[in-house]
Amino acid sequence: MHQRTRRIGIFVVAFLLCVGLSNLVALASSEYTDQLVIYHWWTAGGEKIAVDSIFDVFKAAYPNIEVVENPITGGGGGTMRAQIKTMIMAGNPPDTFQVCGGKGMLGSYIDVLDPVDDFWDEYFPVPEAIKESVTINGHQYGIPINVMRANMLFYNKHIIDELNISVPFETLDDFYAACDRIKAAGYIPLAHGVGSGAKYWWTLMFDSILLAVPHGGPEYLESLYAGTANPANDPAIREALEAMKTIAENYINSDYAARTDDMANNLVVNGEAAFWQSGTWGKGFFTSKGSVPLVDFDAMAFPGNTEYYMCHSDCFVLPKGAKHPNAARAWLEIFKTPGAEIGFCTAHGSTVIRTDIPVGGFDDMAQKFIEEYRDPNLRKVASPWGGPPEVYLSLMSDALSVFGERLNVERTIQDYARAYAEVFE
Amino acid sequence: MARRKLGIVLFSLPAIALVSIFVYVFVGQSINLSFTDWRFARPIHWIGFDNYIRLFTLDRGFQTSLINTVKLTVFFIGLTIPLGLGLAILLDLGVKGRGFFRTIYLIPLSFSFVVSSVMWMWSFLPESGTINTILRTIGLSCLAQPWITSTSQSLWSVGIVYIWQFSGFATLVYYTGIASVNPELSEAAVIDGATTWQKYRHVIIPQQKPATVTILILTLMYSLKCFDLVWLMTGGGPGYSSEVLATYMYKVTFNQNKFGYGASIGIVLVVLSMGVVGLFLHYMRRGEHG
Repeated sequence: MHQRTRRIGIFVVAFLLCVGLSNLVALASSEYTDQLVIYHWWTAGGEKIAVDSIFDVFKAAYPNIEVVENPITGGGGGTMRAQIKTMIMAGNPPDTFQVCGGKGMLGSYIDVLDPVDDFWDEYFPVPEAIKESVTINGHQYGIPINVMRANMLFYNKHIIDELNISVPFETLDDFYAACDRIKAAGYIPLAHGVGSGAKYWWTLMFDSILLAVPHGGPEYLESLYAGTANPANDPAIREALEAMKTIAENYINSDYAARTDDMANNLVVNGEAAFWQSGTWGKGFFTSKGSVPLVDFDAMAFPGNTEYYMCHSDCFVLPKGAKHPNAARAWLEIFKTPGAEIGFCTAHGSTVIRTDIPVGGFDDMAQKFIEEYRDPNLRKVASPWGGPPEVYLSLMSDALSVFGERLNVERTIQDYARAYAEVFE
Repeated sequence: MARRKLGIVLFSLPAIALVSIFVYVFVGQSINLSFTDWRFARPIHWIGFDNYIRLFTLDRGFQTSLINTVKLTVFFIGLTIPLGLGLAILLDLGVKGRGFFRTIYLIPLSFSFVVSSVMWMWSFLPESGTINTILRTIGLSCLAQPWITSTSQSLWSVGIVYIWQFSGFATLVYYTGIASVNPELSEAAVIDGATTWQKYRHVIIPQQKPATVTILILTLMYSLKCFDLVWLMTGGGPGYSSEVLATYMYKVTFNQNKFGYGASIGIVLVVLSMGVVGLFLHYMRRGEHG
């Protein structure tokens, strides 16, 4: 018995030694001399293809750097950010990670990031407003690859053509009038879905409405995101809530709280609803279900938003204390090249951020989005994903989701003001 | 003998060390954190009991989530235990296809929370969901509900899914408990003229205390720390209507970056769990000795 046990012991030790030795050999013969530990939230079909296309460019340019990719999906990047925070606090930050470009969001991380000013000193043709969106206290903290317009309204082209509705809508009243006609024809005017905790769609709707109401507009939204507004007394908040009440009460699907955003999109794809609010990234939701851009669906600015380009970008940043800063810098260098941008944005469906990239290679809808981005007459304003501090989206969405259920303007003004105070406390 | 004891100590040491480090040291660290104002990437200051005072006096979100956690716990346990016991008795009464039903009851437990939540979200859709569609089809439109879309029903809707997922487990534990009752006792009761109901009521059910404790402790643990289903189905909403302590703690910590404050919510959760379980174990021990 003892002899058998000893034999098994010898076998186990020998096995472990072999495994260890083979690992050592593999390590010694590895072609890699550096490593890039990277976190992002691009996991869905088109997103995955998009990010893989940059990895291909990166690996071709830096074959000696091993890419350790950590895609974490969920919560519009919230799940990944939770992971990043714990890593940073544990003193083990990744080499680079994805974040929405915008003063507020980047500002939430500024103490743990190194500036990337030198990347911006080199030639990088983007509108000043985009550079400004990643600039805090005179320093840039992120390198963007794309831009997404958030205040878009997608629509089922067949329904809109059938009812002969003229788009876009210059005012909210024009939108209500169209919705009444759509409703009378037996369709749901606006598909909405905040299920699975995606309450932030309320905030997107509310902030888009804020751009459209008489006392709102881009300056007001910027003051709101900067923490200098006074929601308890500002007329714009009351006007926006009244408008949202009209929409929620009359024009959206009653099961919005149980539907995810994707399920809401299905209503438009299937011809049950006419409109669906999303950012330019919403195009991918349609095409992945077989809908053809400009034939089955189209997109326009949210009502009353035709002059405003509410946007954020996807940035990568340099965390302080990263183990492989050179690899991270190499990644950022690749990130801002036209080749990486074109490959990424074509697959992702977002808009290339460099203004020197020819539009010819993109489909018609993408070209339309690029032209809107490059149109100097469209006033750029940050979206709720980038403009305000990180906590804004969570706290304000809670306040607005109660409103969506109860439609009580007075109470929501108080809830909203309380949440707002907490964001900037 | 001494060598045997030494062996036991040596073999236990790794487990003791791991549990000490990964449970007790971290709980201790969380307690320490809960007395600070630590926010992500900002300096940490010791603030004494401020976090706890704020939780119980000012924080409406916390108070709502605490009440919701208690409501969900009572609803979940209050229905899972009688349902499990009832189904176990039905199985014990010798229904045909017992094995089949036993498997059917247990299937929900084998589903991951993600699968369950997606399935039930579809079922709860007010317009096209399975439940309301069935109700409308059989002429009971008046019973169709908004389910998870309503502030007054979202918590109970999530509770229904928890009950669905765990009642099979309760059934199995009770069924095993009933099977282990000495048959002579049941036979004696029957000889003395007890009806089936009386046999269960006075002989079998009173002996299910250990099974009840097992189910109660496990379901209590699940309901106090429940996160997955709530997070996936409602995200705590609409508003705070289905917010529970665990989801609120996550939001405060990771979405709002208040790590010290989040730790204080975690400690409340730990104290609550330990208190409830400790009280119950104390009660059970007293029952055993008395």
